[in-house]
Amino acid sequence: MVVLNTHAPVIVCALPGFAERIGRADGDLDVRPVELAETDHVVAQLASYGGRRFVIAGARAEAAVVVAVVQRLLSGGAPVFGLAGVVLAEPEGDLGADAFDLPALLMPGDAPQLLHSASDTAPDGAERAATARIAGVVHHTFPRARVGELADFIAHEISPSPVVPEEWARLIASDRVDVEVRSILARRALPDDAEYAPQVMDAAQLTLLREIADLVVPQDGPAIDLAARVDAQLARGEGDGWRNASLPPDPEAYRTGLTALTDGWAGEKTLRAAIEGELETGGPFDAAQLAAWLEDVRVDLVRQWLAHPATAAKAGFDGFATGGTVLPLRGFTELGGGTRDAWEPAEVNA
Amino acid sequence: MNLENMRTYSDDEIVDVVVVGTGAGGAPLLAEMARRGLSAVALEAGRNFELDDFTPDETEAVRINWMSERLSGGEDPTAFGPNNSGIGVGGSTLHWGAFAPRPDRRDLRLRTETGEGRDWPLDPEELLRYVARVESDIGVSGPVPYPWDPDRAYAYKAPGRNGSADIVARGATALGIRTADAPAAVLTRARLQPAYGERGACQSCGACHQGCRFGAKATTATTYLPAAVSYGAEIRAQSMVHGIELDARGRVAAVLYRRDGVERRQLCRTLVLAAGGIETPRLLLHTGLANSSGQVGRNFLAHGATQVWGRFDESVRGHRGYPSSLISEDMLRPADADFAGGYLMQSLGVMPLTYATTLARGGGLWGRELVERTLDARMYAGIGINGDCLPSEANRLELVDELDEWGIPRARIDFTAGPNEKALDTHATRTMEDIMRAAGASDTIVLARTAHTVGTCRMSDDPADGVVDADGRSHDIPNLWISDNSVFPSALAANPAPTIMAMSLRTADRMLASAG
Repeated sequence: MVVLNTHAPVIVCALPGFAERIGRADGDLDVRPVELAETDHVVAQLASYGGRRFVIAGARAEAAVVVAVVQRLLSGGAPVFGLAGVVLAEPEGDLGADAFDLPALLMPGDAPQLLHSASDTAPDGAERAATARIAGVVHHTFPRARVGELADFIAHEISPSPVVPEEWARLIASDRVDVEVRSILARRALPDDAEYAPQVMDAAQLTLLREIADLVVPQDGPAIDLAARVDAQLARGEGDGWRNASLPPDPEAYRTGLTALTDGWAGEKTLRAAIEGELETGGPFDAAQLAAWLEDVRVDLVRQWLAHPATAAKAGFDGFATGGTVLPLRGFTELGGGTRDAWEPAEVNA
Repeated sequence: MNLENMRTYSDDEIVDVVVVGTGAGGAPLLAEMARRGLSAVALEAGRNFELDDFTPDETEAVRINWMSERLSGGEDPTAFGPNNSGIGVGGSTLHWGAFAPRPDRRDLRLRTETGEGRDWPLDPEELLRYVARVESDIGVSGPVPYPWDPDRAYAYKAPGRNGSADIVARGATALGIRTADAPAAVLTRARLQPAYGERGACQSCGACHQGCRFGAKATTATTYLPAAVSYGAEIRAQSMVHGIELDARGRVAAVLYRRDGVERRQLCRTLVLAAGGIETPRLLLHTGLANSSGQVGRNFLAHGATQVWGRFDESVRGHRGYPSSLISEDMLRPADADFAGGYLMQSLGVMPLTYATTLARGGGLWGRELVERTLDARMYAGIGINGDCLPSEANRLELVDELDEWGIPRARIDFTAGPNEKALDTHATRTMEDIMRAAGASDTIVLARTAHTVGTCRMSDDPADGVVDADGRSHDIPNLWISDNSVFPSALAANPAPTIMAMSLRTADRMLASAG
């Protein structure tokens, strides 16, 4: 028995075991049970959500189905868009070798239930070891898995991130979009990790870059963690094919530049002076180098922001919906000012 | 492209020709060599792509761009990567805009006309005959008649105009400036391409620069390369050339390259460098060859490519349709010019990340203004130029100590716009702002930008004054040739790809003639 709240920001797609376990849910949640813990069936249910954001929740051995559905959605191979996270209650079984960097809630339950098969005869020590092993398996598959309560999880890990409007989500799910593009957009739309651990910068540098990001690309409402995304981009070694000859390679330039700005940082005033080439810090970057590096910073931040499908929707950009999965591949028909094709979101000309 | 059942050669076989690069410079020549029965191998640094390997997503589409870092210096540092540099079987034609103007005769004789710049050491009429052949080979759409050349014909009707094109046409007409549908190497109806099969018609998706998934945009991978393979050439992908071996007589005997992490050495009778205006001189400076003139890396040329965007009350959404669907050649020699040469104008459509990048770099924007202008992009129409650039000794490519992933020193390219480029840009900016205002723009924004990588191994009659002779053969090493935009003595106002392909066919004929 569950309570439906169709105004909730996120749908909880509850596999049968999870639905049974959660029983009568909090009225703030929109929990929708599915009848079968079977991948195709679950995907079909998700496709009926009309572009709303959802998490997939399974209990015990349903964890493997959750993994299979996530794999299908992040590969772009299903006509679905809106995945925001997973919920695993007392997970057990083989989760496979892949890893998925998305919000994941772990609900361990009581220890004897968590390790149903092993707990009948095992002494306490072995039970604890088995618990730790299962937690390890879960963290391999879902590195962001954290123990907690469902409502808190949605409130703190899902809701603060920008949401793709439903009409746009339905377009991304449609056969006008390439499988690869759907995969790319599905991954980009995943909520950021509030506990993101920087790989190229240190924690203080990331904090300063977040401040800079707020100044360079101010975001109203739910915000993308642009600084964390730039750090991850740098860690992957992705640049733009060139750099100003006065600068070291990007990761080093970021560390040096952020360190140079730290002393005497006074927010917008400091940033403006640095961008305009008028900030001499006495550090390893002179004023001209700081300005050149900040040009790259501005480009990296604005590109990370604009690449997110929620921003594309704000900008009225639907150029990702060309090509598609049915022949003949399609582009735009109407090209003139003030026009739109029938398939385009209604507000593109607004 | 389909490389199955391709003829292959062993490294130990002395092949007649090795071509380094498979873009506009290498592919036509490769096809010609193979067609005439020579054994030919192309070494391509990048991977092979099928049409569905391309993606309109701008972030991920850089798989077709040369992303190994280059260093940019000078007062006007040039952006590389997606701005102007390709990689993969097809080279930069995978990402090119397919804007296909012909070079102007006057630009090829700029020195004679103005006393500035350089004349090309060839007959302009000969080059233009090759350009027409290229247009026939790859399929070019355009208007008939063409206002600036009534004798010209295009085989396919021009791509449809988008919002930007309509607005630019309106503004230009109000000022008495002629415009026309742009010549574009984009098919507007399906075509059976020899040795390739059917290429589809343009679907106006707007993602030309990210790689055409329809086969409508001509790339060498849909045209010259399938022809080359059908004639028996081999295309060896993911093969990065880093060395050239000479024999006792000082002639090229082998090419050193790395493939799948393995060092390899291909024997050859002739070597053709067609790696483009950056990689060709980088390889020559790295090997120290063919540089008795000291001209390798000199006279780097970048087209002025300033853009003006105007805001209109009705949405434009210029990401739709062929991006550059309008041209004007009226400014090739403006009556009131205070500079040598001239510029082409084109209407602009653009993808959002590319536009935002230009707002941040060329427009210097950040903060609330950057966000608002980015979100407001749909209300803007654009116009841009491709402006001639005079050679300058100070604009040059050199090697730095830092090594790339193949162990080759990275290139540093210094570029500073000279007085002629600045005067041209001032004129162009004024003209474009006037056009946008005449069309009714309520606001305009000027975004500075340069395009293309030209020069660096220029062609000359005098061996002291250039790297290759008027045929494209090295002044120093008789069996070394260069076939790409690095041999251009001057930039020309026309976008370079059709000229590069024409020069490639010409160089092939010169090579075959010299072999007797």
